[in-house]
Amino acid sequence: MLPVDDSPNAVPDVYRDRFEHCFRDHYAQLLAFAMRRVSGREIAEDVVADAFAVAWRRRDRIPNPALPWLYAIAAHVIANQYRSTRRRHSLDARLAHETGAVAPESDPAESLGRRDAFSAAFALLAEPEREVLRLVAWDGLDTSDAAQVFGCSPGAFRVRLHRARRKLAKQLEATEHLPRENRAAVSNPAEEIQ
Amino acid sequence: MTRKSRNDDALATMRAANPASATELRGAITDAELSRAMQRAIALGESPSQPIPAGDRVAREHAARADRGGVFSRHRRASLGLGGLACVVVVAALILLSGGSVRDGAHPSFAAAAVKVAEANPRLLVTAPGWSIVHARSFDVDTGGLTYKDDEHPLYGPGGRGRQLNLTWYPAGFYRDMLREKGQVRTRAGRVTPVTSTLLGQRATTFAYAGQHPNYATVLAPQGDVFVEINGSFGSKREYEAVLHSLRPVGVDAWLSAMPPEVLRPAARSEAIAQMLRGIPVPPGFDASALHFRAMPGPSGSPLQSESALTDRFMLAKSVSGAVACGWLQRWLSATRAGDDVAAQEAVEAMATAPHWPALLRMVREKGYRGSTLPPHGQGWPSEILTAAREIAHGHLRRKPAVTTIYVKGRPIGYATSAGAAPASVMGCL
Repeated sequence: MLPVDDSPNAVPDVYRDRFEHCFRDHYAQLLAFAMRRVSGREIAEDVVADAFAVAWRRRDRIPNPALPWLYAIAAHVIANQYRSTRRRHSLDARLAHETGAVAPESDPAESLGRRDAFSAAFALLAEPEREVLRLVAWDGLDTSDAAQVFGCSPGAFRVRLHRARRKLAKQLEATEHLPRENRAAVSNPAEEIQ
Repeated sequence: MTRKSRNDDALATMRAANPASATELRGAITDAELSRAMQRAIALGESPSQPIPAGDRVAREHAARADRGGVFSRHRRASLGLGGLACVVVVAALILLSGGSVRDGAHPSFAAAAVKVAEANPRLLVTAPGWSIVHARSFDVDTGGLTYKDDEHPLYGPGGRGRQLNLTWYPAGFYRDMLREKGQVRTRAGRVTPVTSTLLGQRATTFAYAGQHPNYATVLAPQGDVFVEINGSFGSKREYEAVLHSLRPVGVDAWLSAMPPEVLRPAARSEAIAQMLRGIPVPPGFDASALHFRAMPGPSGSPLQSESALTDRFMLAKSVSGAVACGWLQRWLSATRAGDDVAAQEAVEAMATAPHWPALLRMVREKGYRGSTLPPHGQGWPSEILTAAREIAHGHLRRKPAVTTIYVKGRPIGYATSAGAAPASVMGCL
């Protein structure tokens, strides 16, 4: 037999390097992924810690590329451990307000208006529609990887994406014509859904 | 504005409203923060009191999806050829189901026999990124094989579904035969010249078979009672060697834990057996815990049996359906000899339901067959059961030609099944 010492301290963990590379390469992406879905950085960090804990347990199976796999794990950690608690407060209603990440606009008033309009329109979509859009627009996945995270075939994902985009466009069109005070009223029932 | 541009505009608006930028986060996170976060994740992952069922399940399912496919290469099959026999099956595992017993020793989550296999094995794992074990069908102390796959690689493998590496261990006594067989393979470029080197401190003999899909095989010198053969199709020798040199010997637990999810560990086995028995009539007094894959006559005439190590669902389905069929066939034989027409008829009727046994249907569906009834003729395991069912319906159960046990140095290592062998013999009932 090959000389392998079975005592825990002596056995080299051959997959540790793989895990550490994966962690360093994708931590920020996974944190951003979580921050787009849960309220507050602390909770997002909890999600990422849980997701990487799973990756650690499965470090012998980390695929290449690992990101869609990690996103899928994190999405399920969020869905199962945070959805039922009040901690999972959707960012959908306050998208750009906290981060200040907004579309470049020449007029700040116009920028604020568009953000409000988008928040209201987005909050009116069903959660699966929002998730489909998040995966593509914010997480930057192509349809094949996004389908893997979402848990369906790429073909089915493309159909879902097309419908979600169409619905978002319609909602945007409708909400852009509403006065600002009414947009807030529109977004509140959606928050309740969470 | 057209509908398409309106949709594109909506997505652009959404992109602009991204609430968290990974690039900005990456710039803001210090190395110390990253290290702390990593330590926290590892501590969570190590802690058994912190189950993360949802994420764990997803990780397993994604891994399972990567487990599809996997066939032995042409050269691998050639290396198993023992000349002149219509069909030779190396019985890698003479599996006797342990009924879920779990060893209480140093490796409590694995069956004692699995630990025995691991302890006697070189336990080499491919550590290159993207690679994992996808098949572990054969699994015995001195004979067995693992298939590693890099499922994400876009360019290689059947249908571009990833690269594959087979790692097989054999009894040390086969080493010279293996080298001779490999050296005899002829390609268009002529006979292959072996190249010797050192791998993991052992003498390694590598054969490169040129062709449209170059195949490489490396045979390591025996260590203890076994030697290891590694082979796979790669785009170049450099690629092959990169994977080869990522092989690392690991400990017993690490090796057993790396087995694919489809491999049934003892804890999962009894549930799987119960599931496979659904829809199958079992003979009176049938004992599921005594299920076995095959009892092969040993040199002394006594059945050679081994405790269960690991098996996958396909092999388990074979043992379950075989045990039930053998139970009915033996009952038919005894009833016929005793003149008990009622019991004999009961066995005939039970075996007549075999074309609908869910476990058999599932096995053949893996090979592309669709429908709720097995075809009347075919190849492979289910056909043996159907043929035996037809034989007893016609009042005669064939015993010959029987399978032939293959011995090496007085030790049974497998069996050969000639064309037209009696199904009861193939199933190991007689």
